[in-house]
Amino acid sequence: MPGTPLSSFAMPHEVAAAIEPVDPAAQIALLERRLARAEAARAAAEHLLEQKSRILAAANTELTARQDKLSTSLERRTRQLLDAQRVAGFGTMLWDIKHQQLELSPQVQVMIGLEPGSAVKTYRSLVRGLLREDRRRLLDWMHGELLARLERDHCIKYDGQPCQGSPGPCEEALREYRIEVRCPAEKGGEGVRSLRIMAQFQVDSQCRPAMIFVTVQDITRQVRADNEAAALRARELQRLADLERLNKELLLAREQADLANDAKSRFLAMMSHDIRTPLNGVIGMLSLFDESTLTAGQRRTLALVRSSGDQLRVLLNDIIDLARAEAGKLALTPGPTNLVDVLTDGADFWRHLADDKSLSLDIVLAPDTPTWVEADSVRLRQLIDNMLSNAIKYTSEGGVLLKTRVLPSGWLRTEVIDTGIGIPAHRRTELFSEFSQLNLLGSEPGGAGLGLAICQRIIEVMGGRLGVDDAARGSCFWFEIPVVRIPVPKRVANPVVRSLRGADGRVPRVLVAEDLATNRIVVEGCLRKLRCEVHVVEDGQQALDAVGSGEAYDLVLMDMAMPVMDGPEATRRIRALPGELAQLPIIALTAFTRPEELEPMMAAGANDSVAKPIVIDDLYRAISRVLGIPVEDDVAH
Amino acid sequence: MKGVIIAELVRWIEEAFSPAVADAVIVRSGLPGNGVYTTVGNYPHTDALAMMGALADISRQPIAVLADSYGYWLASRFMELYPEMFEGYTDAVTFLRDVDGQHHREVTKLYPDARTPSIVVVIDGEELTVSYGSHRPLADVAHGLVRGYIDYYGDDLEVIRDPGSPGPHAARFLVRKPARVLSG
Repeated sequence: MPGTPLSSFAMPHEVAAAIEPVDPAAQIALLERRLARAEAARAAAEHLLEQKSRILAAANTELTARQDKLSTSLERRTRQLLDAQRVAGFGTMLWDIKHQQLELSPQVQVMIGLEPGSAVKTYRSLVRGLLREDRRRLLDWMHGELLARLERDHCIKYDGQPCQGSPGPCEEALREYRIEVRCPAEKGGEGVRSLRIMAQFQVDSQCRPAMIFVTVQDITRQVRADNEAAALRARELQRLADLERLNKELLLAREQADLANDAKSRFLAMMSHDIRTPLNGVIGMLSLFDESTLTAGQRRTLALVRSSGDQLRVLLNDIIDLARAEAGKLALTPGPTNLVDVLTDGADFWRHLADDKSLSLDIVLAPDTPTWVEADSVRLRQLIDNMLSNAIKYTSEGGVLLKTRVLPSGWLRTEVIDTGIGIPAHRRTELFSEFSQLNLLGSEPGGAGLGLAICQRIIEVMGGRLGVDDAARGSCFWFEIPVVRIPVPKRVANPVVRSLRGADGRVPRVLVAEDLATNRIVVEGCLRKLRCEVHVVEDGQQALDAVGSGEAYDLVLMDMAMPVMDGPEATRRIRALPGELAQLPIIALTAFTRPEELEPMMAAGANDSVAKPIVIDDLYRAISRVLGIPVEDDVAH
Repeated sequence: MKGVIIAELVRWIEEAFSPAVADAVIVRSGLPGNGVYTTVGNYPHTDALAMMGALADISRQPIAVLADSYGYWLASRFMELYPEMFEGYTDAVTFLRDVDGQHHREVTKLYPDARTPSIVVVIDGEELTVSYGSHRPLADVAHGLVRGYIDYYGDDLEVIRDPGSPGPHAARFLVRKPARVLSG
């Protein structure tokens, strides 16, 4: 069957004989039937063709109208596209590879400085429009990228296999080629226009390059913005580097300042120790004088020497306080404090000075002033002393009034009002500076100018406020501090001290270890005034020997810095002794007052400390605390 | 059915047999149009089936053989009638590959109401499978057409009809190089 030739059908003879006309009449009849069919077919075809012609004419009219409409639409859209390209600084090119024809949108011609509509036959005309240094680069790019792709004539898939173009363009056909070049912004001008050229091949069904579609975008603004951003970034980086350098310098400077400050603090500590030690001797020895044996002249001289010594002690304490405040180490030691006593004691202390100048010194405590508060009584007294002494110092007639009241906020406000020379408003800020002396007309020179500066620091630590206002005459210095009221403590006695006695009525036996003879005499004198039994040794080793000798002591006063064996070592060894001896109360006796300087003694096991120059009340209180002996007042006996 | 298929059928009967046979087939078929067909008209495909049936009766040949021969002959007529359709083709395989995608598409552009058969071509190495499917039972004509194109291009290929093909509405043809049998 397959391959059956056209003429291979042979009709059976009887069939052919029956069908094929033999006589002329039958042949004519057959011919007439065929002719009639042919004519009928022709007529039908003509009719159909006429119908189709009419349809075609109508279709033609419709198509013409549609074409006109499309042409108008195309024209409008082309114009819109060109306008859009002009506004966006964007142009297109189409390179027909087969026919070697280049088609440019007008905007491309404008961008590379050609007259719009001018004939551009080859890409070399475009290249000539660029800056000289960019021409070679563009040609290299074209030859290296685009033409190489053309010469290869077939796509290579990314896996290296030739692409057959089926079922569609391979990845390479979709690849974008891009380069950025520059051309003069205008003819003869110095301005530069930056262009980004992007090309993509359009391929035929076999994935062979047919056209290259190219877009040209004016990126001058973007490049300028990028350059400015880069410059800005460079400047910022430079600034950052400068700041880092400056920061390093500042850190170095701060380290140096910290070192200098530490050195100053150490210097101050050493100096205060070195000054305190002889001062301790002077003041201590003065307190041992039995005035009853002196003449009136000697008593006056003694009073002057005592006064000078006290001033020197106050000044020394002020300097140390200021150094502590600057180092941020001014700390409070709050405890149960009788506020009324602190205020009245302060006033009483300064009353003799007011009397000397014929000034009144009055206290007015508001009824709601609390008696017992949780506060640092020493610092509170320091504030009162400073303000009262200043008021008396700068007042020549009239008087001084100490007033307190409780503010609605619960804070305590204390005022010291004088009738002195007053402080001009514009100079008040100077008052609280260190070493500040206003030297106002009519004022007496004196002091180091540290008092109010220290008060300011103390108030800051307390979290309060300090200030000065005008009074009716003179000034009103005030401070406001938060206070915590507390109930009356159970076992507190009159702080006026005179002697110590244990529960059994026996006076304490005290061992004193001190290397300096003057200090030994002072401490011994103080203790004897407190009616203690005293045994004195000269260094830590002797103290250790004394404790271990079997002699029963109630207490050891231990100096820190001593030859042979220092205080901390001796303390440690006593604590290592067997039995009850290890529990022997030890009070550190030292001119070092900073907490970190006391630390070796406290770490070695000392129970308490007393600063030199010795204030006899402080010594008394410390012994009371350590031995648990209630305070007694000989006056009451 | 497009008029060209049925008009060319009458022509083929006249050439392959005789004008008298064609006349007898028309008369015997009892066709409503009395065998008047133009290439620009549209006619029911049942007319062609009726004529094939009448021809089989008269000639005492199987319809399948007649339809295949007609298809084979029609291939060369298409080349005469529509030479632009074959422009650019140098081998039957490439032409067959494009039949459904391009040529039938052109037909439907010209005659939107035309229902062309579907021709799916799969190339697997050196073998080509042509699958025919139509609402008209003319798979034998399609077979003849495929053979006609291959012979026209002079390609050394054989066409094997898949015996598992479901019937006259659908068929699968395997086109490949003929197996060489070495004798002696």
